[in-house]
Parts: sequence; structure tokens; C-alpha cells
Amino acid sequence: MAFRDFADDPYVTETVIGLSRRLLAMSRRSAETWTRRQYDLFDRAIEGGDREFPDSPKVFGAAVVRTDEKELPVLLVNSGLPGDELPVGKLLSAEDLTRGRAGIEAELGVPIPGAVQLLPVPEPQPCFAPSEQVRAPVKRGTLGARVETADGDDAILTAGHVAATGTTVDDEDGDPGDVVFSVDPGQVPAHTVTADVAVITADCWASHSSSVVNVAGTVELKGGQDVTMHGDVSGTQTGTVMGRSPFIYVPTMSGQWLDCYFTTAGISADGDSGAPVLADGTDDLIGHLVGASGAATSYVEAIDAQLRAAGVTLKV
Amino acid sequence: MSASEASWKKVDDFARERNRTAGDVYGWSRLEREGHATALLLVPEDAMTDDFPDRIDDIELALKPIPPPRGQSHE
Repeated sequence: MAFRDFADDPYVTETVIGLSRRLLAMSRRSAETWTRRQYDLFDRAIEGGDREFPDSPKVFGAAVVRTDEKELPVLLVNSGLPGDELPVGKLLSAEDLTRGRAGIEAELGVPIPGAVQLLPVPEPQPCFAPSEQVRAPVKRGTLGARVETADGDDAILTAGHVAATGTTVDDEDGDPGDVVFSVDPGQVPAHTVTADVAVITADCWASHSSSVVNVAGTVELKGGQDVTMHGDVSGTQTGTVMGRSPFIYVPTMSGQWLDCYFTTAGISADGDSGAPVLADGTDDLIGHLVGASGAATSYVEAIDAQLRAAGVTLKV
Repeated sequence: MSASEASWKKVDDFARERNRTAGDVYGWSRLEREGHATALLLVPEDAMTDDFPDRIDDIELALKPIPPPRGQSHE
């Protein structure tokens, strides 16, 4: 199916082609309220999008929607806006709303050309996203940073002791993913010092990415600097780096963790393994949570060691 | 006074050897504050402090007793 070029309206051309990065956070869950065709069109519009969309937290993006053999440029807007009823999945023109065109433009903070329809949708929920739960056959953990494999596939990290190579895992919505690489210090010869990391690929985020935890790069920290962990169980927790050890001996594992920061107090709980940890107040990743010593300290394996071990590159 | 890399290497060798033989070093980290080089050793809560030297070359050893490290997956 070809998209029409709305060249007669420069604004619409921009919005149809260019899409907000936020738009990429759309999940299957919120798309369930759409028709299959809408979803496909939306999906394909994302694939073609490489320009920025006008920035408004109440506009999730734009797409081309076909109804009754007509293709319509559409803004995906938050169905939870106060005031007017904004039924999920129903195409509306600005004039349909009691607040009128000027009112909705003021609400959204972007102009709405006459040809553009509004498609109310729930706030996008990311699929296989950093800080979400990951369920392996035996264990549960937290999803970490997005990466790209050597083959160019989109992927996401978690802890190796959570997900074994060759197994299928689910995100918290039940979307399946494949563990294509894993190294688990609990499954290596005694005294081997290794990363604790797994790489998961899935179809679910082929055109979607997360806006929950944004990673802009990596950074190394020193003692006394603050970090923020985004765990599935503990949520967002802030701690302070006490030090960085070239190895951590884990009595219940045959091997040992490689290159770990440890914090001045525990900031994590069971189920947080794999969680992304960033320099506090920044989008700079330092590594992923792998474990703790009770309430005394939490361990964060350095991102460089994990990327090297997994043979992947960070997606920013 | 900053310690030499050779001295830090001795600390690392010491920590790894203690881990292999006695299992009473979980990990260690450099601490350099106000010109004093200190190696912080993570040790079991029941570690025998007399078994550890006070320093290696110019590096002071400090012990931090902690519970055993473990992974934080949920079964």
C-alpha cells in the first residue's frame, strides 16, 4: 500500500513523514484498540519517519489512516485529555470537538491544518522496554538498555542469570522474545570472572522503542557520585557509588561478576536484576544491576564490560 | 601520596588470591582521598580482621563487612 504525498500542505507533509521519537513508544497493548489496517499504516509510517515532529507531550505522533478508500493524515493525540470526549480509536476533526479548533490547538500546543484528523489513543506503553519486567522460564528480572547485535538486529539486555541462551522470554504484556546470547556467572567454570548479561530479540519493537528510560550514552563514575536505578520491582531508586571492583565473588555462583560498581547502601530488590542504572540526573548509562549484599550494597556491572561480552553496541 | 600501578596490582593479586584460597574477599575498590591511597576490601561479616595486613606497599587496606553478594532475579 502506497502512502499519498500530501504535498499540497507542507505542514501535513512534514507530519506524515516526520515522526516524534515519542511516537516510537507505541505498544501492542495500546494498539489493540485500533483496526489492523490502522496499525499497519502506523507501523509503516514509523519506518519511513526520520524527521522530528512538533514537540507536544499530548501528541504521540502522526500517521496515515485509510478509511472508506480515503487516506487521511492523522495526529495521534492523548485520549485522556480533559474536557471533550475523545473516544479511543475514533477519527475526529477539530470541529467535532466542543472546544473547537482553536481550543484543541491550544490544548495540544501544535497547529492542526484543516485536512488533519485526530485519532485519540491511550498513552503509549512501550513493548520490551528498559525497566519493564522480563519473565524467563524460571526467573524474572528487569529489562535493560537497547542494543544492536552484530547482525544489525534490534535487541535489549537483561542479566545473564535471568535468561539463558535459546530460551523464550516474555515482557510484562506477554510479548515473546528470544534470548540469542547469555553468559551467566553461575554457569561457568569455578573462579571465572565474567559479565552477567543476556541479549533478547523480539518482533514487538521492530518499529517501537521506549521513552521510559532514555539512554543518550555511557559514562564512568567514581566514588561519591549518585546513580539512579530503574528496576521493575523497586522502581526508580537513587544511590551513591562507593567503589568499583574488578571482580565480585558470589558464593552461590561458580563464577564471579566482572567489573562492578557497588553502592553505599542497597537500592535494589529481587526481580531488579538487569535494570538499567544511569548517572543520576542524566541519560548516561553506567551499567546494569546484577545483585546485592542485602541492604548493605547493590552491584552494578559496568556497561562496557557487558557490551564487550555480548558483542553488541548500545542504541542511543 | 598516590600509589603506583604496581602497588595497586599487588592489592588486586592479594584480593584474588584470598578469594581463591579463603573465600573471604568478595571484591575490592580503590579509594583515593586527600592524597591517601586506600584499598577497600569487601569481606564477609565474620571475616577475621587479624588475617589481613594493614597495608600493601603505600596502600592502606580497609575492610567493609557485608552479607554475601547474590543475584537479584526473582524465582
